[in-house]
Amino acid sequence: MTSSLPTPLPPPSTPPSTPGAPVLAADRITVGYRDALVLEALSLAVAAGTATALVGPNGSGKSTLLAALARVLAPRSGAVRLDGTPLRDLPTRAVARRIALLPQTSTAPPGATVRELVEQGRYPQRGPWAMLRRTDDAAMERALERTGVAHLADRRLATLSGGERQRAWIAMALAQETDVLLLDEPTTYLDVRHQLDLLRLVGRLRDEGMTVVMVLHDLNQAARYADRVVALREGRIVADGAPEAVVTPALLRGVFEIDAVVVPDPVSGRPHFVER
Amino acid sequence: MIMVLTRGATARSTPAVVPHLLAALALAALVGAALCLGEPRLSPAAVLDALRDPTHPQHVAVTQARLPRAVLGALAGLGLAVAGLLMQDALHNQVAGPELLGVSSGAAVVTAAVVVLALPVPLAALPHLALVGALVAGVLVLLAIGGSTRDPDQVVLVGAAVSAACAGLVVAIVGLGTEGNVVVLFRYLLGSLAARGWAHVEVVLPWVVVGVGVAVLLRRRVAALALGDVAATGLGVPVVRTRLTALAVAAALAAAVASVCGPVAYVALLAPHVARRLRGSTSTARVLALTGLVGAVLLVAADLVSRLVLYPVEVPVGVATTLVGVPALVWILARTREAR
Repeated sequence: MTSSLPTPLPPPSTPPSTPGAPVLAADRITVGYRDALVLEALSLAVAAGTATALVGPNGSGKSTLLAALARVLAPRSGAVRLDGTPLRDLPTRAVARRIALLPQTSTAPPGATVRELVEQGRYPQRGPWAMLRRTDDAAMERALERTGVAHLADRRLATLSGGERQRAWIAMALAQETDVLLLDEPTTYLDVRHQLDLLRLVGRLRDEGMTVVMVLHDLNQAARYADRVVALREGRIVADGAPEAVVTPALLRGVFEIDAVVVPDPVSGRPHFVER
Repeated sequence: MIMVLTRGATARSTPAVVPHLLAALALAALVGAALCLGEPRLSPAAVLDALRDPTHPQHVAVTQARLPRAVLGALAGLGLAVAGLLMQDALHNQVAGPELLGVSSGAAVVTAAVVVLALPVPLAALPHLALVGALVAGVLVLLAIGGSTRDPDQVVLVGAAVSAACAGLVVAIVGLGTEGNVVVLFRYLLGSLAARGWAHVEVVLPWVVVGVGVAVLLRRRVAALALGDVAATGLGVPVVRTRLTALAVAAALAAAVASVCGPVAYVALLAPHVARRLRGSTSTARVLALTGLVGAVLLVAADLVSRLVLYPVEVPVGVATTLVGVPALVWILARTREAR
């Protein structure tokens, strides 16, 4: 694989996150379900203030890697580190004040309102006791505004379109006011316009200094909206780097088994593939 | 922005008071009615006299029969309702109830064994023994569920299987009974508040106080579970620990009630649904208090109906709750399907 780049191992202890320093790092993690190992001794360090896209065919382990970064799956060996400290050594609520997660499928009770959903995003700050404070209200309103669902705040989720519901879930994640945001296939159930709205929002959050890691199915979207594209296949990182270095005909053939040409996107200049 | 905040705040707090107030008033009115109605029927003024004056001819009837019965009904309804809410939200299952934890079956097995086999147990010790049976059954179910708390549907299946096994055991014991004692047993198996006194209240009270207290502590974590295990983990909620604690609290609440009143059906199922509708919210944290109030109202009302409807014959309260509960369950299921 011409485009494969070695992934730097994070140093044993990293300083508190400054732009460019790794804020979240998988350190030789082995992850699996029951008998099957999905990832073996995989390492990935994510620099603060960057947007990273995890791409790969179905079953490549990209969602498993995201789940491990989000502590939804505990690694059997190795560690996921937040500013150098293994996640397992941190209280889970403290982690939730640093890392927000948008799950792939949403199961909120259909009778819940958007505001109720977004209010849940304040749990990491409030805990089991505290009433809603002014800071909570402000964070919720900001999240509702950012995602364009403020006018839907009192609507029930069941009455919303798929795009609106997805934005409500992102509002919940933003209400956590974390510096790291993990998104698992955030565009899957959205029509094209809402996909682009969402990716632009992710871009703005990145510009404001947020660290974003997202699993994306659409390689062209990954190339356009991420600073770094990490391609996985069969549980291994097979390519890692800037979109120009990763989205190449060789990678498309080797990883995705498609025969394609790569041309610069006329708007962004990022690589854009077109199948033959 | 300030406009939005103010409007948001008032939209949250104003309507919340109304359903709580209504439910509290309904409970007070029902407890008042429970003290007045019966044989002999007393006026509210006479009830107040009887409560205050130890020499009043109805003093004993009011303070030792009607009042503890109403208090027990309210406490049992509160406990069952909170147990039902915890079960439904922790398992994302709109029709889950504490009967899945096997506790009422455990209490029934012990009670059936004592009554039918005529074991030499003093009557006063029966609720305590039933409580032990209920708790043992609950612990067994929780152990059987064990590692599968990651999968709520698995919990429901294991619970249903254990409950069915216990029900079979009860039927087997009933089969050994004689005409005389089986009638007594059936009254218990249908759930009843008849002839319960302060001693029964004392059995239930500490469990309800502690159980509801823990439920209050758990309410936001259980609300997060309703978003799915992945989202709850992202919010910093320990998923498995929270679910197991919620089930254990539900089991303890239902065990205490079942040991004294028998398996009172459908209150645990219905109260959360009624509360969600009244409150216009599905959030565990928001409907918890109202669910407890509604449960108390439902059980005290059902008990009043069961005392009066065929007077002087008393219908077990479980029959009344079942007659209301079954059509309501069908309605809930129909509505859940529509919502999907």
